[in-house]
Parts: sequence; C-alpha cells; structure tokens
Amino acid sequence: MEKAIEIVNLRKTYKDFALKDINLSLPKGYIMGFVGANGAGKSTTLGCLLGMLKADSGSIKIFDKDIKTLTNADKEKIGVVMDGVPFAQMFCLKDIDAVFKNLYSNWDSEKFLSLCSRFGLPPKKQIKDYSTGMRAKLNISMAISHNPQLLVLDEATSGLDPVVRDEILDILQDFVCDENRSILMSSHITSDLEKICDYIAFIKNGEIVFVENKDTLQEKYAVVHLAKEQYEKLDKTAVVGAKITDYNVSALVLKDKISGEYAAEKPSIEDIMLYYTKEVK
Amino acid sequence: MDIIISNASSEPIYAQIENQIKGMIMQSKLKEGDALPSMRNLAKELRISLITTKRAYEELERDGFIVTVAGKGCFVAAKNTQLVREENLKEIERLLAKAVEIAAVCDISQNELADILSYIYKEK
Amino acid sequence: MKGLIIKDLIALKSILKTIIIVVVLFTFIGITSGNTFLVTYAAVYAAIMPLNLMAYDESCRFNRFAQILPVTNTQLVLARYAAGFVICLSAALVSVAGMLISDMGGMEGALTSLVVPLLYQTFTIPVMYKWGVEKSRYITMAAFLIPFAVIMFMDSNGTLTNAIAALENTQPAPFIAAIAVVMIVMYIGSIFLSVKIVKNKEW
Repeated sequence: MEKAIEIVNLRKTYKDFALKDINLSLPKGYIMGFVGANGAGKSTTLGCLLGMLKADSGSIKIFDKDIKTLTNADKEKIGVVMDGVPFAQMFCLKDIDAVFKNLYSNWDSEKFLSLCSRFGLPPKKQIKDYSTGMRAKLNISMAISHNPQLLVLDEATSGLDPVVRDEILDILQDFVCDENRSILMSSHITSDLEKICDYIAFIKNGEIVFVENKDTLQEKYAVVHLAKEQYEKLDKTAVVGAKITDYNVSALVLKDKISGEYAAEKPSIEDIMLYYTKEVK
Repeated sequence: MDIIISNASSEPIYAQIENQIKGMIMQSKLKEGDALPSMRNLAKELRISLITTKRAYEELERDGFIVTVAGKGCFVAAKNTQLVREENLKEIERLLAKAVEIAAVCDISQNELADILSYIYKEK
Repeated sequence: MKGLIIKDLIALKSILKTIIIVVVLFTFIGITSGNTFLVTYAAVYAAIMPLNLMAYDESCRFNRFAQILPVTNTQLVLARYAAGFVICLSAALVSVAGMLISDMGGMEGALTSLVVPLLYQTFTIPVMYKWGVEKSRYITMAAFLIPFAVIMFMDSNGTLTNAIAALENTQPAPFIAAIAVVMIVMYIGSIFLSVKIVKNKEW
C-alpha cells in the first residue's frame, strides 16, 4: 500500500458552496495538515472522505480501496476524531469501553483507560459533565485505542490549552513512529501543524491551493517588507498576496521569482494562509 | 548527536542535516556501525518534516556515508577511505579557492600565496 | 454489532428505574381496578422507547460516527429494530403476567401489547431515520394518537369489541393468520426501507 488516502477530482455542490476538483494524496507513514479558513471546505472534504457525506463525483480511496468497498475489517484500521463525543450524555468511561470492546476486535481497554487517566479524565463522571477540553481528550483516546493505521482528525485540538495540545501532538507523533501509520488532520491552529506535519494542504473556497512539503514551503516563500514604489516595481506573478498600509507594503512572494535584496522573513504557515487570502488580482 | 538547523541559512534544511552528519562522520564523532536516529525521530526532535530527514538520509546513503538495514534502521557505513579522501579534497579545494579570492582582492600574487603555504608547513 | 446493542442497553439502564416504577404502578392499578388498558400500559412504553433511543443517537450524532465504525448500515438498522423488538416482547410479557395475576384472561390483550407497539415502530422508525426525531414529532404523535382515538371512538358504543368478538367467533384462525402475515411483511418492509434511507443519508 503506497497511499493511505487518495482523493481524485472530488466534487460536491451545495446551494451556496461547492468543492471543486479536490485532489489530495497522503502517502503511507506521513502526517498531513489540512488548513483553511472556516467554511473553506475542510470538514466537507473529510466528510466525503469518510463516507459521511456523499460526493457528487470523483474517486475516494483509503488503503487503495474505493471507500464504497471498504469492509468492516478495513474500517477497523481507521480512527476518527470529530466534534462532539458520539455517545449519549449519561455515558461514562467504563460504558464507552464496554461498547468499543464489542465493536473493535483490536480494542485495547488497558490502553484506553490508561490514556484517559493520563489525560486526567475522571472514570465515573458522565459525559454531560465534561468540559470541552475533556471531550477532545476523550475523543482522541477513543480514536487511538484500537490501533488504527489511519487517523483522521477534524479540528481535534480546538478549544484546548497549549499544554494539552502539546501533549496531544506528542501522542500523535509517537503514533506515526510506526511507518505503517498515517495521519490527516485539519486545524486552523497552524502552529500545531507547523510542529508535527510533514505535508501541508491548503484549501480555499472549496479548492485545493497547494499540497506541499512543510519545509519546502518555508524555503519557497518569503514575507518581504517594501516601500510602496518598490512594491509597484515587483513582478506581480511572484506575489501571492499583499497587505498595503499607508506606510509600507508587506507581501508574500515566491523567492525564486524575486531579484534584489529586500527585508525578508521566513513565513509561518499562518502567514501563508493569511496572504493567500489577501490575494493580489 | 548535535544537529542545529539554521533558519537564516539559505541552504535547504535537508542539506544542512546532510552536511552536519557528514562532518560528524568525517571527524569520527560518529563511528562505523553507530546507529542514526530513525528518520521519524529526527523529524520529531527537529520539528521538521519526515520528507526532509528522509531526503537527507537518502543523500547520505547515495554518497556512501550510511547504510540502511531493512527493519533495523540506518547506520554509519564503514569508512571508505577513498570517499573520505575525496570529501577532504573537496573541502581543501573550497578553502583554497576562498584564499585565492581574498588574495585577488588585496592584490597578493600566487607566489606570495605559495610562500605562505610553505611557511605554514615549516611551522608544523 | 454486539457493541450497538450494548450501547442501547446502557442508555436504557439510566431510565430503567423510572420505567419499572411507572409500569409496576400502572399494572398494579390496572389489576386492582380491573382496567384492561392500564395493565397493558407497558406496551405504551415499549412503543416509545425506540424513539428515545433514536433521539439519543441523534443528539450525539452517533449514526454519523457509525459510518466509520466496523459495522455496516444494515447492521446499524437491524440493531435498532432488534432493540425495539426485544422491548416490545418484554412489555408483552409484563402484560401477560399482569393479566394472569388479575385473571382478566384474554390473550388478545397480551397480543395487542406485542403487536401494537411493533406496528407503531414499523411506521415511525423509517420516518425518524429520514427526517430526524424532532421533525418527525408530529408524525410520530399522530401515528400514536390517531389509531388510539379511532379505536376509542369506535369502541365508545362497543361496536369495535363486538365486531372483533364476532369475527373471532366466525373464523378466528385464518383471520389472525392473515393479519399476522400482513404485519410481518410490513415489518420487514420497514427494515428494508430504513436501511435504504440510512445508506443514502448525508450525515
């Protein structure tokens, strides 16, 4: 198996929004960060990937199999984190463990309960009394404890404090130390993605803008600060986006299309995301 | 094993890693048979992508500095003296080229440069 | 699939105490006051339970999550009907026990408390899968109240009871068999319909 995920020309149209020809491939053993503004299409794409939403056209494969042909055995190898805990309010950890024990053949109760305890989740408390952070921690514990080969996370770290997020990122990195495992995670906490991702996929208005090696992204682009006249003289095909103020211009540029010396900074993923939104027409 | 990535350098990250590991092997700080950290581990510690560490290791293997043992990981290769000699020659050439460049700037002739070289050898 | 059943049982467990108290109370009152209807009150609960279970699933978006669990949509739906069936069976047993204790006799009562809730589920489960529990409320309520009202009305001057008694006296066996076959066919049809709805639904 070469690719954990392969999405080709995915299309899905709603009344006021559409996914247009989404192409996304995640090679086995890697972590891909899926970034984009709210409403850009991250959750819709992930929904189609997991079969929760029905694509209008295109091909979606997990483990080299079309998702419509995935068997229960295949689904055992997939773990998912979405918003909300998918169990009724009165459930506690023991209940959730009992359900999963009888759903997954590889369910590891010990791992689940020890992860929960490591996260400080009280065993007897009902979900209805859980805070947002606790729910997120619970979801991640649930997703990992049946030893899946593919983890798909949709905004799994939103609402968590930096300390907990760091811990979760650690767990995710440990997860992929086994090169048979892969992770696709969507987030708008770009600093998290910066820490652990190998690839970054950027989606805007329902279209994939790029899928790149995180490191080459930062080698390819630079944020330059210029006087307005300097900016006017720039080759506009090199400019991704610009912030024009009364005093100067800050622009995201492709380094190899720019000649000359400018005050340049290495861009963070957040920078790239923001400047792509301030697109120069 | 100390590897430092410089954000300010114009050298791509994989090259920085490649060169630093090469240097350590050349200076015998890494010896034949020593295990290198797994690509994923290195990526994790340095906060870079697996693609980058993989590329660095691939380049090192291509140049004969390390070998990959399937299922076990990457190890420092037996010191290929020819290889080491080549690397050292490359470094000497680079340094001498720099000396020549500086000499040209302050108008020092090739003979004067040769004299300096003889002087250094005598001092040793 | 076993996990799905366990999930429903755990959800029920939390309201079990309330259910038992109410059922015991009403059955007791029914027995002592000779009111047949109250003795079969357990059936009413049986009809409503699957509704509650589906409401739980909906509020925590379990069915969406289930798309990625190692269960097929067919198994998902079957588990729902199975839970409903077991609940109806339990209710029928309670009613039978009540009838035997009070010596009210009449297996029709016990049969009713098994069949009526099952019929109710046959109609309401696909509807709830299609439009969700909330949006289906009017339909599910109507499905409950209308037949009830009709029966009450028709029975107000004993017409219904007499009609049934008359039918029973004439040709009971084929009559009951025919109805049974129709009900089974509708029940199975309901399952197929629910599976189709769930498979095509956007979660």
